[in-house]
Amino acid sequence: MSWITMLYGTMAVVASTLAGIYLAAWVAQRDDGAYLMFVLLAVSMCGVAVTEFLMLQAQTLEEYVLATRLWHVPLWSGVCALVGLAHWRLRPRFSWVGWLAVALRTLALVANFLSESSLHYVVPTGIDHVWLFGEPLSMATGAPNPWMLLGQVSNLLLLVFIIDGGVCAWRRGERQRALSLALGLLIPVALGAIQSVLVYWGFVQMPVMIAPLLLFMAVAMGYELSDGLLRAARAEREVRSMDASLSELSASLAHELNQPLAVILTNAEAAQSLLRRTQPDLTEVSAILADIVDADRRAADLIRRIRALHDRGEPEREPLSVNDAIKRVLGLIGSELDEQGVTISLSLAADLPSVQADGILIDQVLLNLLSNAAEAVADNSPHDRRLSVTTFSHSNGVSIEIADNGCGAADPRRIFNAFHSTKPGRLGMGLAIVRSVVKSHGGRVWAESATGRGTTIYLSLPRDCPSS
Amino acid sequence: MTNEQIVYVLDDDPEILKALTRLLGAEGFQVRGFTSAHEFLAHERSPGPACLVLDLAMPEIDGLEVQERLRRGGADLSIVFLSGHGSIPLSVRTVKAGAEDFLTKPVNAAELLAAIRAALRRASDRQAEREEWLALHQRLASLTPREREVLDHVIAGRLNKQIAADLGTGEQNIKVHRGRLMRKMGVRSVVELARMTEQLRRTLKERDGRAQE
Repeated sequence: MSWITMLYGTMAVVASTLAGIYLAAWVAQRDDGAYLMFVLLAVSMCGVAVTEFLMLQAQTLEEYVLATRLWHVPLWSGVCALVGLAHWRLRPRFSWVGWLAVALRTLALVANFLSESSLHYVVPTGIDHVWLFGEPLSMATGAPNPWMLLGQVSNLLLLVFIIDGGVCAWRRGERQRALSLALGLLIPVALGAIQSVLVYWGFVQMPVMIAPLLLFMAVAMGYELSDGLLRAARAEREVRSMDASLSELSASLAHELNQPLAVILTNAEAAQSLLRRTQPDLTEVSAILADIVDADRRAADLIRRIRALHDRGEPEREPLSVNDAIKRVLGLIGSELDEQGVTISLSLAADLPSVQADGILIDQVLLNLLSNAAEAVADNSPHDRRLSVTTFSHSNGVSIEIADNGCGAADPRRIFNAFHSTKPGRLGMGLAIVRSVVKSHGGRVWAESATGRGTTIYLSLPRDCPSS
Repeated sequence: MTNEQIVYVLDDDPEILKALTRLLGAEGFQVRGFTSAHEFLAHERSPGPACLVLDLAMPEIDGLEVQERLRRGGADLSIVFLSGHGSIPLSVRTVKAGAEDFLTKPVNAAELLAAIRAALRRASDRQAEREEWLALHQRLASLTPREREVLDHVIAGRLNKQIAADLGTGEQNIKVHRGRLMRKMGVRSVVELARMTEQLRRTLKERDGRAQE
């Protein structure tokens, strides 16, 4: 089999495979018009390959002319598909350029079929053979047909349209798409246009061979397809992890709320029992009611804080100085820490860059971590209760370390789990929620600890918030 | 002697402990509360039927561990478990290990009281059984070896004459032994005697079986 047959056969097969894949993709996702354009482009590629093959293998002038005429049809549909693609995927600013290109190409198609022979030659005079790699390739000779200009101006407009689309995409930040798709379409169209000008206006004596250039397009399409798949997989993973952290949040919430509810219920039933007596002890009942009110307030406080977290949905980000946040939180719990005899040492980096974060949430995170640390050292001897807070910047953002010399934890990873608790009855946001909040800011939190040797919590927040 | 029934409550959360103590006290129980498992295990328990309301999730020693330690120490407390989040496998485990009941927090007072009452009833039944068995065992132990022999033959259904022949002594002696042993065992008929010995034997087997675990 000659290399021509192999090359063009491969082109046709690759193009029709791509057409099939994109057709399936479009059926699954009807609202994305780009898929349909990809199908059209792939079908056109297949058509160009077939008709160009016929051109190159033509033995008589009639065969050649017929093949050339047919060749224009997939060319036309290809141009339409390219304009559609550029419009949908790249979104160029001057859409009239694209429409004009389609209009001109349509006129060219009409002229092609109306003319006596084909668009390229007024009257083709003969058929010639050029030898390439041991195979004869047919080409025609004759006086060029000025109507060809329609087609070639259309090509030029198409080029401009794609370039505009690429530039717009680049400016929008879709750098990868601009490069892969725009370039992938631009290069073959440019080369094909140049080639057609050179050949048909007689500057170069060679048969026109656009099909191999279309390989470029096939590669670009393949890349676009796999990129789409990867993105879909990533989105699914994100949803699943969001699901997981949401269920973690609600599990932690349920667990935290259970305690005050149990306290309220048992106390209330105790009061009921007391009141059933003939001489109820009303001071006792008063004390019970006071405890009930306390427990209810704690529960309401927790719900308020969780609601604040949820109402924001996406945390509102603003430039936040971590050092200021730490000082603020210490201002809140400072007197309590003094009472408990806890000493705090601060080493806050002087030129710490600000991070994009939600102030309220980060305050809550710091409050929780500092309270935990204070409780961890509560069992130490009164002059040996030490906390230290350190901040410093690193390449991507800001690091915070909160260390205590308290009781430590046997498994420092488990402390972030939703049901893990070492403290009786203490209501707080919970380390599971801390982890969720930090993650939603694109940061990391982890702990190092050993039983009896204190705990250090490491917190890292990025400077730029991740694009959602 | 009626020993007073006591309800012990062990929960590391002081607020829950306070609420439970109040509730049980208001319902007329004798309550002793503990927040530390160590304290509870170490403290001397008074005799008498008792039940333990035990929190499952506690730092350091959890409820299951407490149950295990009590069992190993031979204590006979009826346990009612309380848990913030119970799973079926977990509750089955505790009941298989001898727990009376397994309830989830927030616990309904009516349920809790019913469970405690059942637990105390079970505890006092067990105590009565034990006392009875002890009494029987003492009676058996008070028999002389000869009387023991005669007892075995009597419940086998042998006549005095036959027993005399088996043991190589006179029928009159047998009659005397028989009378004494019936008196010591506190029974009026052979059927009663047989039933009593059977019960002793069965309880002995149970005791041995449990000790081997």
